[in-house]
Amino acid sequence: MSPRSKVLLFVVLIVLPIVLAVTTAKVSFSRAQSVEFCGSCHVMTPWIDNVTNPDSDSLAAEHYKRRWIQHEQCFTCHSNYGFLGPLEAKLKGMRHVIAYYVGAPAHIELYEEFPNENCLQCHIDAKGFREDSNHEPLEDLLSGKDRCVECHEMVHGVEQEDDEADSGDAAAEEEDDDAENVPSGDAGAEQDE
Amino acid sequence: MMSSAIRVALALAAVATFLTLWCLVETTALSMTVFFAVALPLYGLGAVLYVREVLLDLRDHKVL
Repeated sequence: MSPRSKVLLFVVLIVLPIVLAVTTAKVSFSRAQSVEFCGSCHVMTPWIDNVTNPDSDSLAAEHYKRRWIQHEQCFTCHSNYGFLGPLEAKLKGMRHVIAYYVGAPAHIELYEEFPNENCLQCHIDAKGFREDSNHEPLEDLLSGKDRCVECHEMVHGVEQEDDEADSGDAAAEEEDDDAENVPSGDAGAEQDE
Repeated sequence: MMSSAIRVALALAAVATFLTLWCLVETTALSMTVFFAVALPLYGLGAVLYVREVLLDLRDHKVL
């Protein structure tokens, strides 16, 4: 190879791929915060339909239709606040993509309880929130002793059919499954990322 | 005259670039998966072939 060929191939095979890959990763991760992206996995359709339904009175739909959150509504609520929150959300998002292709579970739910911080980030200094005596003592909300979604329970209003692959053993087990069918509000929402 | 390894590397880079541009234009779960799972490894393989070829070339010229 001539030196000129080496340089040309270095640009074509090393430099351009790095530039293109970094740009694509940045742009696609940014776009992945949109509601449309969350809806690109069909398992998320019920949640997206509920959020974007103007007739729905679920908490998520209220936030969406009243534009309390202007953009990237799924990501805003489901990425934890703090320095590593967005990064964790993106890593979980990649996990969701893998789960989507490996086989999404029949019953979609959050990996962990919905943290109060995600609500309080916006609400804590709001006048209406402060004046509502139901939110006292505030320390219990801040510490997580009281949970926002315990009272504001219809977050998404999506009912799921449970995975009945393991059912059929005992009636009691079925009763437990039925209990899980009751929308807890936050179920599955983290998959929206 | 290009070696067969460089031709393969260029072909891999061309395929990877096509897939990457697809992800760049239309970002969906599928295109992002293809980008990370297919395009990036193809770029990496092309780069490895190029580096290997350069090292072989340097060895032939007794630089290494």
